[in-house]
Amino acid sequence: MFLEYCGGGKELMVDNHERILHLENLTIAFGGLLAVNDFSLTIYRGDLVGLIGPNGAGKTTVFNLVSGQYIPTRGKVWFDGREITGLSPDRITALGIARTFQNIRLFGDLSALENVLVSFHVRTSYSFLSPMFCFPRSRKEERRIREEAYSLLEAVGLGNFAREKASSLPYGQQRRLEIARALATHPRLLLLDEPAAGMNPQETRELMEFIQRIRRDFELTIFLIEHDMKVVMGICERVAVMDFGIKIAEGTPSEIRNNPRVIEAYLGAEAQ
Amino acid sequence: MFTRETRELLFTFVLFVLLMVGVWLAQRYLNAYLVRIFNTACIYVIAAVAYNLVNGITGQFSLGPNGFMAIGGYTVALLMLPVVQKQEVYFLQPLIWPFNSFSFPPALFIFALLLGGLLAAGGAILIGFPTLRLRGDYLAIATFGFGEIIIVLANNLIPLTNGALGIKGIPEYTNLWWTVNWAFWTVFLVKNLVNSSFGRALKAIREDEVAAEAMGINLFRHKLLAFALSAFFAGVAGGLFVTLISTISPTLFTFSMTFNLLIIIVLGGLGSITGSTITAVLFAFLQELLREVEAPHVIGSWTFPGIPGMRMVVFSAILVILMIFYRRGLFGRQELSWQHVSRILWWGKRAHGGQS
Ligand SMILES: Nc1ncnc2c1ncn2[C@@H]1O[C@H](COP(=O)(O)OP(=O)(O)O)[C@@H](O)[C@H]1O
Ligand SMILES: [Mg+2]
Repeated sequence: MFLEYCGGGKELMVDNHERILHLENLTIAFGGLLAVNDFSLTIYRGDLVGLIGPNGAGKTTVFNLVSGQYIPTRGKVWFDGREITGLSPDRITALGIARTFQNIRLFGDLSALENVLVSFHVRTSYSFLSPMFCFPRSRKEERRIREEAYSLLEAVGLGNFAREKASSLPYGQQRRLEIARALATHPRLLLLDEPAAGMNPQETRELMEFIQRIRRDFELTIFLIEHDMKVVMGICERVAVMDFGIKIAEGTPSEIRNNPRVIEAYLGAEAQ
Repeated sequence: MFTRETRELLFTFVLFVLLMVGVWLAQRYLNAYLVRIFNTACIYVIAAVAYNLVNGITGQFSLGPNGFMAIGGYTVALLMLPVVQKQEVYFLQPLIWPFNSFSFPPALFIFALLLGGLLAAGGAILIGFPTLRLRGDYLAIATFGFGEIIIVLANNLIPLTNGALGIKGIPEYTNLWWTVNWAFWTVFLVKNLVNSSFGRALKAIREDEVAAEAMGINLFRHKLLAFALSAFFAGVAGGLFVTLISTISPTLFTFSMTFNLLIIIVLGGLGSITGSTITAVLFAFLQELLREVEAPHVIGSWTFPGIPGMRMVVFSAILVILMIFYRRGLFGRQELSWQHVSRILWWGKRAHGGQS
């Protein structure tokens, strides 16, 4: 295949300068189940790309492969012109990919502010000994990141909840906090796994506006999972569709809407 | 005019001065029995706070502190025992080189303690390296095994440890100055660490490992560091303990030591440093009280035989009751901070109002 051919040489670096994420024949098997099968996709800088498909299609698994939670059985992941297949999640985050989780995974017992502060930790420049002995350097930095974290919370509309325990926040705000926490790692690519899950149409519309706003303000590329097809149609420039681990279609929303295979997959899922 | 940090540091300094005055008074006027309990209390504080850093803050279930205390204890004993004394103690098999040929002068006691701590930390890295990479309860099993192995080694490495007979006549360097200072600085350092960005990362690991890693935290590095640091202080506590009671043998640091510490940290609240500090002191006194129950007493013409083993029964009962009614311990994950203290002291006056 063309992509496999590209995988080796310098060529890729050259024609890659616009690509930010490039998935090459990703495959992962759990026992006998091919959760993701030969999945290829390219995302360009600044894009907002949707990944849709019925439940169990393998969407979350694609995210887990990109963010390093799973290591693919076969295939490669490229980010910003460099191969990141097999790197650990923390290394991948440090390189500039952040994510949220389908089932919210906040640090429940920590405050909203602390949740965001955790993401600043990797970029703190002092060793653990510095705060132990009260060196001024760590204090100064702590003050700086607190201010930064606080303004990030305000930017996502959670300024008033900074001291609130994460687990005590209402559902919609937990979702926002998860996005704020991901933004605090200073990503270039943000992976959002069903951010609108459990929200009513009104909340969903607000969230989609919010996502477009952070894309602009933080100069992000966004890769977004949604299982309700209608939600992404409005905001994504391109959409990929998965079913049974396979990419069955890719294109603009209007192309996708009229694709017979997509209609079949969704009707099939609804008929179950 | 002062920032909150500066003010808190000032409070802490005042507390330190008060403690030192207290020690000075206690050395002069307190009876030896009470001084000894306070010494033990401080050693429990060091070991418990260190233990809580791993089990409460980082959320990793270790059962190892007795092993680390033993390493610290034997190290300090071997370094501080005078050479003449060594020849007397090791009569079954002579002590191996180089320990048979030197011992630290009293002025180097602090270095013996630090070395004991460092060796214990080395032991922690040794077992942490293979086990902390894995998810699940491997750490509990490995640390439990480690503690048992240390005891077996203590029994059988006779040329080094003098086997089951143990080492007697270790100079009693430990006094209230040492124990109170170490306890104070342990709490101070660990609390600073817990309140830092590093400490937040440890708590994040406790709350959700997957999310913590996805936010860029290297799980292995952070767990290992917390574990090694914890073992360091446990080693120091072990070293202080043997120079307090002047003897060490394999039975001193068995699993029941870990069990005691587990009660202390659960009682104080897993994740609360100040909670562990307070319950460690309470525990030391409670233990003495129950020692009375275990010993025979003569009241008038009636002889009360005492109930040996009563302590373990009572402690186990406390643990069970706690687990049922008070699962989060006295403090939960709250810390007693200077803000709380000043709120209690200046009740209603709002002396330290919001402006910092
Ligand atoms: N860790 C795992 N072990 C076993 N099976 C898994 C694992 N992760 C995902 N799967 C399976 O892979 C398939 C795809 O799951 P997922 O990616 O979560 O779907 P989606 O996000 O599209 O709803 C499902 O059948 C799921 O059961
Ligand atoms: Mg999913």
